[in-house]
Amino acid sequence: MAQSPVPKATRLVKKAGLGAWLTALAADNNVMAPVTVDGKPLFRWIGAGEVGQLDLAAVHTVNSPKGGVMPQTEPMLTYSAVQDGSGGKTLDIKPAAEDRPAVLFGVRPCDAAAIDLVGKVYLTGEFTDEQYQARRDRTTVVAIACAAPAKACFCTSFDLSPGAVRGADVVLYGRSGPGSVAEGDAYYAIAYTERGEAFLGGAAAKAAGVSDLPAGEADKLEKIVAAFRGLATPLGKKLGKVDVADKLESLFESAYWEKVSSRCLSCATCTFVCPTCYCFGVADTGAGGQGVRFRYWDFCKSPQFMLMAGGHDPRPAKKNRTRQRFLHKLNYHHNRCGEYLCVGCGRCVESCPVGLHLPLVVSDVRGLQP
Amino acid sequence: MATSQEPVIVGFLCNWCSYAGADSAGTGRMVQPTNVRIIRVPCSGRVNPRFILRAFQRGADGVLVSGCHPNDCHYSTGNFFARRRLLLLKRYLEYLGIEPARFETHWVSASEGQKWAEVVRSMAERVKALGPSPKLPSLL
Amino acid sequence: MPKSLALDPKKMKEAEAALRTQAAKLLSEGTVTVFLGHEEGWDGLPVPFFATTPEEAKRLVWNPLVAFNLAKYLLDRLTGEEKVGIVVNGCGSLALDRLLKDRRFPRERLFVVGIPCTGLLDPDKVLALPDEARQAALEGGKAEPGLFLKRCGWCDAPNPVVADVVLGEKVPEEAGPQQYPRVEEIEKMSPAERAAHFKTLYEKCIRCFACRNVCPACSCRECSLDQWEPLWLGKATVPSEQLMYHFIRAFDVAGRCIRCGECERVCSVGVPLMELNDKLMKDITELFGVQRPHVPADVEPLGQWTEGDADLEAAH
Repeated sequence: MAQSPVPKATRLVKKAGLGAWLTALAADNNVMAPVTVDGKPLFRWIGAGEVGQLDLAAVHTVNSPKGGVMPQTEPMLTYSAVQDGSGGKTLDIKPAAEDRPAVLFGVRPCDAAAIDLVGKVYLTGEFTDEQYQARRDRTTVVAIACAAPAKACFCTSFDLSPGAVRGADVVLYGRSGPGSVAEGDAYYAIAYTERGEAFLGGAAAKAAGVSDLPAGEADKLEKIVAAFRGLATPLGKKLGKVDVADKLESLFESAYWEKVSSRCLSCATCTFVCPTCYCFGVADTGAGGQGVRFRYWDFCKSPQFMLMAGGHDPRPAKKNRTRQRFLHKLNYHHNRCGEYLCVGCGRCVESCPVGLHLPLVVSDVRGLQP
Repeated sequence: MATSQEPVIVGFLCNWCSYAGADSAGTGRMVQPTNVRIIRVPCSGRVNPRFILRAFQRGADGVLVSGCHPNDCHYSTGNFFARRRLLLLKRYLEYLGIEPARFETHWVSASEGQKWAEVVRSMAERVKALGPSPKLPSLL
Repeated sequence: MPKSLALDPKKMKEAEAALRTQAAKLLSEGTVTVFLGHEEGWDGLPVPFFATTPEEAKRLVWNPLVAFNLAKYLLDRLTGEEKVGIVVNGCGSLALDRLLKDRRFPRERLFVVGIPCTGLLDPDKVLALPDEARQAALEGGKAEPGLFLKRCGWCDAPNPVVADVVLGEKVPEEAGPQQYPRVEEIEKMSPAERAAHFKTLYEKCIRCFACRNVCPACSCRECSLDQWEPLWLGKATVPSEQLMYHFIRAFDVAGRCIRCGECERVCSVGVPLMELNDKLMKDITELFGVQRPHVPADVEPLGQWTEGDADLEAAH
């Protein structure tokens, strides 16, 4: 377990003040928050007018907030053909316009950790993804600790917990502690980064009535935060710590992949709801001498994902593609970055139409003979 | 495209009847509005419904499909299949919120220059009355 | 609700035993090399299962939650000579028949075990029930109409239409015109309201293609929506492309949709996809007089015509 993160500022915010907070934030920021649409909890960009739909009750939104830092469709540049002065034409290329600063509000600790986890892929090593960097630099992540982890939650199978801080600038902890879904009448808002500190001291926070901690509550706060961090997760309890990276080294050729993948639909549900899947494709769209180059989420379960121009496909079957997805998360990434590419949010468990998900593969792999 | 007051109508015309019909309207110097941008197709049966939605998305205010009269199809039955498909499509587009008058289908033979001019004139009038077609956001 | 919806878990339990015996027999005698059915998954819900040995056949389940339409998996087995066993209920057999009528799988390579259906429950809804109510539904057959799969509400084909062997007795069928109440509601809206209605829906879609991939009527060797040249469907998830996707998805199965509603059921974000499919089915009945547009016919409604079809020009 990583050492306890050090708070930079601690405040109190009434649950009733959240609406005003978001409204004030929406004036200068793009705000993403969980809302319920036709009975489905979804993470969405919301305008000031939609603040009333904020719904922090659901532990899992169907989608993750990863779209906040990796939009499903993100323009990279625009181009247009212009006269070059000597009778010919030249291409005028402009980088995509920058968005306003963003606040991702009500993010669960697993999803916040996922942003940090995926950030390493984009921002470390030989190349830095400048566009991603710019987006991250203008994004504030406000997490909310989970009072009642859902049935499919297994963040504790990794170095995370329902009260974890990783990836978050501010974490909201229900003042009445875990165990109740109502999450009390107020939250402790704790900043763990300088950005978070500034955020809690900002004008929007004032509008929401974010106040100092009442005197003598520091002890209680410490206990409550510790309680959140010590909370077990239902599926995590069943699964235990994920420990299959080494074992998978010898299972590349296992017949298991053929067997488990046979029911895969080759759809992108698991990939697109997953907070840690980050692959993208790049395409152009244009007409009349101008256009846009953009990137979009791609998915390794797609038969088109690895298809080469000449018609060769290195991953021709569902077996290959399923194996790739799980080995990437449970072995390749672990070898490269020293951690699993999964935060245990449980969305694949909840959303896969055919019940083919990571915890299943982990427990199956444990039982396999190398 | 829709910046001017004049509506843009994309016309899918079959090679054998309607395209020739439009041609004969031209050579006959019949007065007709200039709203229709013609795309020549081998047969009205070639018109995939997605061409039509795409035309609307790329700036058309109206879409017109015109082919040979029933029983006159160069390929015998292409326009019969088209008729079924487009009957269904017309209702489908209306259901999706595209005003029905924005999509029309006509039978114009090679000799019916007069009819072509009339089809264009009356459709342009109807589409003009509706104003520009609303567009869904795209990246462009 | 159709009379056949007398959910009967006891009968299903009997069918389950018979199914296991039948599948084990087929596998041990070598009639089939694989048998497509369901097994109990991680959380107790049935998941698609492919038994290859008589031993594995014992894992087959048949209960009120076997919602998944298996026929589509046949497309993974197009190559080879092996004979494939599959279990279907009424709607499952329609899906199978769809593939057969579309000539996507040879009938002679199939051994179909049919089980007359007394209705299926929506797995997600059942899973969300308190323990007692869940047990009452799954074992006692006590279920509110709202717990059933949506498709059960309009089912008029509970008995398999394709089968080599039928396990259990036929259940009463209730023929009558298909109803489309939601479509009628939407039809009453103004064009602007309808455009707004559908825009909201398509903004939810995450373009995972689960609806297409599960659809038994979507069986092209290469889907045009996956093609790059021409690029029928842009990769951007902007409203215009989202509309294009759903426009194509529904229209390309018009006249071939079996109204199983699997597209809608597998959608993780809850896009009411059947609002489009149902509209097309309703119009196919109204325009071309096809009374049961969801039942695969030898020639699909859009693959034929009559001289007496409505006059297109007069439709304006």
